[in-house]
Parts: sequence; structure tokens; C-alpha cells
Amino acid sequence: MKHLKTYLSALLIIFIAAACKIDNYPAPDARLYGTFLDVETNEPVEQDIIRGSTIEFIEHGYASQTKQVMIVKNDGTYRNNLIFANQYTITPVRGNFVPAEPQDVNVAGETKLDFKVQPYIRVKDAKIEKSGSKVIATFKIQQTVINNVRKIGLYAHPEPSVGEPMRTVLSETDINAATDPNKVYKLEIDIPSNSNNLKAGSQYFFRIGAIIDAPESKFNYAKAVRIAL
Amino acid sequence: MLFVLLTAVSCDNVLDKQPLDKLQGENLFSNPEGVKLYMANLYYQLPIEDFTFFRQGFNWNTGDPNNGGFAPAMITDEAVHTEFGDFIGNDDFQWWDQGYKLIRDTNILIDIIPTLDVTEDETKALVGESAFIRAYAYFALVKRYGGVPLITAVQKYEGDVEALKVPRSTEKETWDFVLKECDVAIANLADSWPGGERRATKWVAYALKSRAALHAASLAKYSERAPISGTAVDQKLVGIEKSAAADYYKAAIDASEAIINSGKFALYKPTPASPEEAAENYRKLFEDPNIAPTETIFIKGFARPGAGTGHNYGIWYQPNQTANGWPHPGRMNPTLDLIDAYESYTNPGQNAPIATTVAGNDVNDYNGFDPAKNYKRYDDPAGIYKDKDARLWATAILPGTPWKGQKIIIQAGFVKPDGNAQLFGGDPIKVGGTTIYPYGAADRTQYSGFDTWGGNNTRTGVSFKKFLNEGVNVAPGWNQTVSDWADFRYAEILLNYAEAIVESGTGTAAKGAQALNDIRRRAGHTKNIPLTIDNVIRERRVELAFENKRFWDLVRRREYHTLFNNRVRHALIPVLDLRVTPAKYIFIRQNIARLNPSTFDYKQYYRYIPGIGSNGLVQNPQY
Amino acid sequence: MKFFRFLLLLPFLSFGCNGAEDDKQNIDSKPIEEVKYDETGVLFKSYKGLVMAGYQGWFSAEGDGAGRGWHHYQKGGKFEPGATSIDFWPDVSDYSKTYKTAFKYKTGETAPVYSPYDEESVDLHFKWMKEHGIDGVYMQRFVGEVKGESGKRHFNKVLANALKASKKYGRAISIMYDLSGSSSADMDFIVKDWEELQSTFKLFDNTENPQYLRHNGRPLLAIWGVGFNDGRKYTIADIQKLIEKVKGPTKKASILLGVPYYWRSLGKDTENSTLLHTVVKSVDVVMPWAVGRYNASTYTSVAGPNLPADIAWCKANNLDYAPLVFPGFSWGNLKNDKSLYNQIPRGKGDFLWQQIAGARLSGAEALYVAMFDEVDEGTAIFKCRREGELPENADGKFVGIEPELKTDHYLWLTGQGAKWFHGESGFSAKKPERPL
Repeated sequence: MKHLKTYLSALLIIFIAAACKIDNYPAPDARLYGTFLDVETNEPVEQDIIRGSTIEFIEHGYASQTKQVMIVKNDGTYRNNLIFANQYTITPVRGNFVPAEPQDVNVAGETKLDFKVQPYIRVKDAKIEKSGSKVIATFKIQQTVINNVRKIGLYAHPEPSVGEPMRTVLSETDINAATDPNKVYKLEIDIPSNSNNLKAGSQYFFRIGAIIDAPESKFNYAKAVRIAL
Repeated sequence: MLFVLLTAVSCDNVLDKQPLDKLQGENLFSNPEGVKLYMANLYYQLPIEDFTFFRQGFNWNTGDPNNGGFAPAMITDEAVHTEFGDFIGNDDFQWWDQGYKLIRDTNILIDIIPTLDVTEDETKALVGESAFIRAYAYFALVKRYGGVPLITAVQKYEGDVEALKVPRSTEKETWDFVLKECDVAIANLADSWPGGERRATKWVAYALKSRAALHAASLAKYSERAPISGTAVDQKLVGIEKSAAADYYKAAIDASEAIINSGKFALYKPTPASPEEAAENYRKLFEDPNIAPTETIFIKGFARPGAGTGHNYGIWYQPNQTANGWPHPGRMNPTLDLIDAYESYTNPGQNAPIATTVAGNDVNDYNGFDPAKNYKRYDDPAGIYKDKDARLWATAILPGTPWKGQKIIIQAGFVKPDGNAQLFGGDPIKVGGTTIYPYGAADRTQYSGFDTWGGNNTRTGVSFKKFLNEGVNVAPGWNQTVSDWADFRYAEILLNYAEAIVESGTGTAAKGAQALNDIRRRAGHTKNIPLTIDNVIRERRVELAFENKRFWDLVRRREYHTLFNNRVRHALIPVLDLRVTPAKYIFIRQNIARLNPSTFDYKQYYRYIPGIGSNGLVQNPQY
Repeated sequence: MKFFRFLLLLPFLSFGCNGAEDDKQNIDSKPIEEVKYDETGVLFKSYKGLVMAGYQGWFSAEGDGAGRGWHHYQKGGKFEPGATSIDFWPDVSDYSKTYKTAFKYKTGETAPVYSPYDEESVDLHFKWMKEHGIDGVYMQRFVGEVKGESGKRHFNKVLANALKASKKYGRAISIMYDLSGSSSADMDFIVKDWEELQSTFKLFDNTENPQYLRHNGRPLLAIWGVGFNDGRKYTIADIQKLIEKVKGPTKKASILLGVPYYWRSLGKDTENSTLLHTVVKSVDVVMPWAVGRYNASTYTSVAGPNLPADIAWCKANNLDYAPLVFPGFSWGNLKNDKSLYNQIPRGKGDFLWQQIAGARLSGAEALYVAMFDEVDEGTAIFKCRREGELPENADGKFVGIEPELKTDHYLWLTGQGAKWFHGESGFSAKKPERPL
């Protein structure tokens, strides 16, 4: 959709300027991809594919400065295979990391652009196991900013892109305080009382998340784990 | 200018026309009929959220009005559509070009008023009415877009489009303008119109101010619940400082109090003898609001069948059994989420989630039928709703209750004598020589629930009743329904009043509590409850249900993103339990079938501004 | 199209902050030799690890010899009940030289004030700093004031007092030009004034003024007020030139730049101009103005993400960063608005400590405390009178330090912060309790 939009807006501008001269424009010919990396650990920063961190990019050379957006996959990678080769200002925004700076980037052909970010929270020593009729998660929380941790959660969904916005079952605890990095947190989901969504014999993805209390912040996660019930 | 600009880009030659080509200025306005005609057109354009208000816009009763009957209530926790699983989209509830057209048309009138040869009283009325219309229009704009360009005089195109570009005012300036225009209207309008015309009066203007001020106050108080960022925020084009809340709440209290103290208004039939009587009174109030002139402060009429004059509630929302030949009835399905909010007469002042089991401790279990559970059993398919607030009975058609001389059958299936449940279809079974049908009857014209055929049967367990006229069989065609819409009701003013008092901690709490309890008394409650925000909001949900208030309540109080975070809405499905003889009804709380969870993004608190490529305005965040 | 194909052939493309590197290369390539300072005996070779306050020093008293009347105490030419611009009242019980005013306590006793024009008063201030372990101050130099003869005399006298006292007590000192009220035309004046100060006071002489603050091997000069979008009569480009001139081809000084709070995102209080970033990258330390940008309840949501992002930006651009902390804010008398008394309450130091801890935990290495002696806006940390012990002020009032605290409580608490920044252990987000 976004690429189509670029194309159309370009057309529109020409259309207005040149009064009905329809041009034969080239298709988007470049690809932009990369990963959100933890500035300290250099590991990918886990994300949400829906309502997660977004990447705003503005194509240079147009007065309108229209912001286009890309979403990020759960594993922290993103890819846009339909982008016009050009100069762009690219900013990761509304994310699960300390606000990052806009970058001016020349996109041409296959262009790799990683974002080194400071995730608000690192979920450490994460372990998710089925134990009897429960799924139990244990983990530690390392926050990198002074804000309170708002809540922590264990989320389940049939798809690997599980997260707070995409879950059929959840178990959350409000924290609303600064966390002790040495404390082990525990969350559990009872399987029988969620029989509508967690069916014995099926496989589900479970993921531990935590969200910082900062404006427009998003959840930080440990990697999703697949468990057969 | 925005209007001019937009039409300019779309190559319309409006600029070449006489701006008043149809209405030749003084000639027209010197004729009283001409003024009336012009005014009628302005009122027609008023963004009243009535029976013809849908996500596509206002006055959705001309051209092809087929929108599947997807009502604004279906974007809230009040209802779902039988088929569509849509939630709010970026293009929904836009009102930009139309808004600035109405403002331009009103400004034309305002500019011309001083030149008219009319009496002082008539001038005053025109000044008041035009201010009212402008207030109404800017209110509709500001609650959608935040701060907008304030165009207060007719813009004249003199060869320079840039000169016509007016930047957005801040959101606060725009709200202040709305309230100021209300004040102008209040100061200039009379108590009533000599012929009782449905035109703005002083009291309608007060009512508008009560509603608008409460909206602004709530935004100021609660915006921080959903922080957004961007240029529009930095420039204060969206968002109001928290410190502004106090003044807005005070304005809401004062405007509401003016109406309350005027002695001109009262609730319709305020002291019913029984809940049954209360239910019937409440039903009639919406069937025809004209029967309650003390309660209905402002009515929009839908006078005769036809495009632009009738509406479509009568066809879309009848239960399947009374479709009267219309192929797609039954589309408004009130949710269990709403039903739960109605108080029980046995436990005043509390939400009363429907307990389906003897244990009663599993109201949050939506996992479906569980043979191990000890369900409560009823002979009457509406028995589980006993003791629920009368307004539920008047707002929804409950299973097994009569409507238009028929018993409305809503049944999701049965539990077989062997204990296995057969829900949502399948073959009939024979028990003791009787054939038992999954949906409660043999023929698909004889029931109104759960069969997916045609998308005509409720999937929540109840059908819709409010506003529908029980005595009229609406012809199966477009715009054939002719009931009138009460835009401002005294009950809303009382609720605005109570909310402003409790939210601001100012005003007289006892009066706020009385306003709240007067409405409850009218609904058959006899025990007063204290003035708390939870009590006010619950009362608002049930009293104003389906009056297109809930959407804006969730927006202004910034509750949408919390209540709609992967929100699954719920049904209460009646099931015939054949494990006992005679068979009885049990009820199961469960997720509404075939409906995906819905999530409200922060950015949806503001609509996007159309046409920024040409009008050069700052766009709202994240669009 | 051909151009892009060409780029495609490049095996690896880097997309960092190329602009910044280019700038530096340009400067580096100049063959002029940079000045080298003798740092023998210099007490403070870096701002890092220090907690320093801003020192207004702009008050004067009738009869102090400055000839400026009740400067900055008065309002509308008068300093009497009902006419004053200060909210906090200095506690002058330790001062050897004070001045009687028209203000009286409830007891009928006259309430005196001090003047920084007096050497002994400034000496006392630096003595307090030493007692509480506060590292030093930035002496404010208001361009608008020192352009005039009496202003220049006053501020030079205060500076002389401060240089003497800071040397005596081993406290760091640096000059900060406050550009509020300046115009583009004043830039040359600033350069001239700065040159004059250096020679008059031998600021950079390591034996004469070993306490003068150095940073990155050079004396540090602070310039405050760049990039604000409040309609100033000078531009970012003016400051860019000013900095070039101050440094000179031999890079005579390091620069601390006082910028608006949202300098990084170029929003809200900040002019939307990327030139600000270019200028910021050319200096040594960034200090964003935080007074009034948050209060105790909004601090974490505002500063929480902002501080680490600022620090990351500075690290990436090889800059040092000094966040600002302030004890509270009150300017009811200045603004003639009673609702502005205690506009940002101090909460017995909770608010100040919240910021000190926030800055430290976010990785800040130095602090700027606003201010040492600012009583007009009620941000002073020095000894002020307590609630219940204040002079009367017609139908207005004064604001006091919380009655259960000692009058030097904010000096003490700032000193605790300094210990933390010096690397002492035992500090956390929990406000330290003062032993009785």
C-alpha cells in the first residue's frame, strides 16, 4: 500500500504541475532493510508487528514532506522491497527504545540500515515452561531508564508473532514502580481455564513482555517460545 | 477558504460563479420566506448525529444509502453488526469539506444580517441562530480534528489562493470559540419560536454548550491518558492543557444549571409505578420523541418517506421475524458488555453482569459450554433478565418477548439429553416425539437469532428495539422510516451536569446526585445511589445507549484505547437444555462468533485532515 | 538512473553521521597550531564528575557602593511591602554585612538583605559551597547588563569577589554569558568583553586562577541561550560566528552551550533548525534548560526517555552533557500573580533529588544546578528563610523553605548529589536523610 501511495503522490504532483500530462514513471526500484539492534548487547531488539515501533521516512525532493511508515517484524527486522531509490530522512519512532535520531540515508539498490537503539527494558533470563496444567514464565527485568515499569505480561497466540497486541490469552501484572534487576518475576497461564483458546494437543507461542511508563512507549520482549500443550 | 481551495484543486469552476447565485443577497433575505428557506438549508446541513449519521457521514439518506446498516454504535461496546467485523478506519467519521461548506454558508448569512431590513427582534434571532449553527459546526470539527482554521467571515477570492489559507488555531482556541459562539446564541435567541418551529432556542444553545464544554473539559483532564507526539502536538493544534479542565467543567455546570433552573424542562413521566411501566414509557419516548416536549429540547424531524426525508432504522434493525419483506434486517446486535452494565433492581449502584451458573463466580469465563457447570435453568427464555433495569427491556428485544404481535425467538442451539451441546446449526433432533430445532423454529422466517443466513439474525443473543416503532410496518425500501430524532434530551443535560460536578469536585454534589437519581427513578429505581464517576458513566451508558454518545464518550475521556485493546465483545446465548424434562433454557456467556478482536490506536483520537497537500495545514499525529 | 546504478556497485555503504565528520575534517585540516595551556596546578581539568551551580550575583542593595539601588530585589523602582520581585528571602543570619530594608517580620523587626557587591558576602557563599561539597559555580554575565557602565562595574566586582573566594576555598569557577535580551549586534561586544575579562582577571593563568574550570585541555566558557524559539533578536548563525570568534583559530577555549530542553528533537521550546545541531556539534558540553519543563509528577515521563536519548546523542557526537536540576520554582511576586507562588513545589527536596537521581541513573557525568542564589524565580539553593519566619509583604507574601528543614537544607542536599557524582557509594533514587 505504502509504495503504491508514493507512486500516486508523485503522479499527483506532476499531474497538478503539468496539467494533465501523464508520465510514464518507473516502478520502485530499491530495497531497504535492516534490524533494530541493542546498542549495548548488539542483539536484535524484539518488537511487535502490529502497534509496535514504527519507522517514519520522508523522501527528499518533495515539498509536502509526507511521512511514510514501515512496520517492524517481531524479531526486530524490517524490510521494504518497494521503495524508490532516493535520499530519505529516516526515523524510528514511538518505539520500545529511547527516542532515536533521524538519519539522512541514500537508498539505492539493496540498502542495509540497522538502528542501534537503547531498549527501555531488557527481559533477562527468560524461561517459559509447561508445568502440569500451567504455562509458567520466569524472568528478570533490566530497565535502562528511570521511568517506572508499567506492567509485565505473558502472552499466548497460535502465531509466532505473539505479543501484547496479538494474543488470545494473557497473564499480566501491574508493576508501576522501578524494578530490581535481581528480582525473579513469575507469571503463569492456567490452561484449562482458557480452554477456548488453548487446546490440548495444539502448539502455541508464548512470549514475555514488559512496558515502560513513557509517552507512546511500546512493549519490550524476550523471544517467543513454542510450546505444545 | 478551505472550501474554495479544495474545489479549486478539483478543477471546479465555482470561483467563477456568483457566490450567491441561487440566493440573490438582499432580494432573497428581504423576503421572510427566503430567509426561512436559507435557514432550513443550514439546519439541514447541521452535523446532527441522528438516524442518518454513519461512519460515511451525515444525512446518509440520499443517493444510495446502502451501507449495510453498519451503525456508529458497532464501533463501540454497545453493539456489533450481524456480519461485518469492521472497526474504526482512518476514513471514518470525516466531516471536513462539508463542515467548511456549512461554515461558509453561515458566514454568508452573518455578513448579510446587518444589511437586512428586518425588525430588531428578527435581527437578534438571526444573529443567535447563525452563532448556534457555527458553534454546532465547529464543535463537530474540533472533536474530530482538534484545532482547526477559524473562518469567521466569508472569504473572497481575489486572485491569490495563498491569501485564503488560514492556519489551524490551537485546539483550546477552537473550543473556546465554540463556547463563545454558544454564548452569542444564548444571548440572542428567545425562549421559543412563536409557531413552535424546531429551530434553535436559548435552551438549545445552552444544551449545546453543556455538551461541548463537558467534551472539552474531559479532553483537558484525560488527554494525558493517551499521549501522542508530533508537530500538531508541539503547536498545540491537538491537546489541551490539564489546567484548562476547571474552566470547561464550570462552563458545563453553568450551562446545564441554566436549563435545570429554567423550570421549562422535566423528564418524561418521571415516577413510574413499576419497572414495566418505566420500560413502556422509555420505549415510547424514542418511538416518538414528540410526545415528551418537556424532555426533548431539540428534535430533528424525519417527516415523510423518501430520499433526504426518511431514514433506514426501520428496515436495518427489525428482528428477522418482522422484516416485513426487507431482505437484510436484524443488523444491530446489542452486546452482553452493554447488557451487563444495566443495574439490577436487587443490587442498585452496581454493574450487574449476568450470572449464568448457580455458582455465579464465572462471569469472566467465555470458554463456551462446559458440561460440568451447574447452569441456572429457566422456563422463560428471558427469565435470566429478570430484575434488570427497565431500559434494557425497552432498548433490546429479549429472547421470547413479544414484538409486533410475535414472540421473537432467539436460540443458539440445544444441549442434547446425552449432555453434548449442539450449537449454531446442525440437524433438528427428536426428543420424546417432539422435533427440536436448533434455532427454535423450523422455518427461517420464524426465528431471529444465530442463523448466519442473510446476515439477518442476531449473534449476541438479543435484538434491537430502541427507536423502532412497534405500531408501524415499515415498507421494505430505502428511507421509509419516519420517526423523529431527539438531538438534545433533558436526561443528557442532567448527566452532563452530574459528570461535570463529580469530575471537577465543584458545584453542588447533592444536586448532581439528584440529577443522577432522577433519571434512575424514571427508570423504575427507587433506591438512590451516591454521586460517583462510575455511577454517572454507567448511567450514561444505559440511559443514552444507541444515541451515538458512547463513541464520543470513549474518545473525550480517553478510554477507547484501554477498553479496546484486543477487545473481544461478548454474547449471551440462550440454549435449550434437553437434559431435563420439560426442557429449560440455560445461557452461556461467550465471545461473539466470527468477530475478531478490536484495537483502538492512539492516533484515532483525532481524524486526519483531508487535503493537506493543497490546504497546507499541519496534519494530525501519525497520519 | 545511472547515478544510482553506480552506487549499487559499491560493495558496502555506510550511512552514519557523515555531515559531522566532514565538518571536523575541514577544521582539522587547517594548519594553524592550537594553543596549549599549562595545566600545572589546575584544580579542575574537566567538568566531568562535578556538580556546579549557576551564580546570578545580580542583586545589589542601597548603600552597597554599586550605586544600583535595590537592583533585582525591587519592582517598579521600589523595594517595600507590595513591591518586590523576589519570592524567597535570603537567610542573612551568617552575613557580616547586611542592609536594612522596608520589610518587617511579624515581630516588627526589620528584615535585612545582602549584596554580592560585598566581598565578604560572596566569600560566605563559597565557604558554604566548600562546607557542603558543591564543586563551584558558573558566574552569570548578562549581556544586557554589562553593556552599561554600572552593570559592568557591578558584575566585574562580583566576579572579582568570586574569583578571590573560589581560589580561597578551592571551588571551580567559570563564566557564563546569558544572552537573554541580546541582539545580533551584541555579538562583537561579547567577544570584546570576554577578551577583556581574560586579561583583566588573568582568567587562564594557572597560578593566578588555578580554580578556573578547564575542559578538554582548555578553559571553559559557557554561552547560554541558543536555539530558543521565543523570538530572540539574535540567530543561531550569530552564535555560530560568536563561537568561532571566541575560540579563534588557535582554539582558545572550550565551550558549554546552554540550549532549550527539546534541542535534540527541535520541537516545543526549540527553533526548528538543524543549524542548531551543527552548532552544538562544534562545542564541548551541552546543557539543556529544564527549569519549568516538568514538575515532580511529570518528571519521569518527560525526562525519562529524554535524558538517555540526549546522552546517547552526545556520545555519538563526542560531546559531554550536563543536565540541569533545580529545587523548585516560584515567581508569584515577579509576575504579580499569587497563583504562581510555589508553582513547582520543592517537596522538601524530593523534587531536586528525583532529578539528581534521574540524571545519575541515566548516565549523566556532570550536573548544572539552577541556581545558587536565584530568589526572583525561587530556584535558589542557598540559605533562605523558612515558612513562618518570613517578612510580611502587604497583600502578597514570600515563599519559604519548608519549616521542618534547616535553612541550608538545599545546599546540603546538592552536596549529597555532588558526592554521588564524585563516585561515592551509598546513593540511590531514595533521597538521603539528613542526620539530625
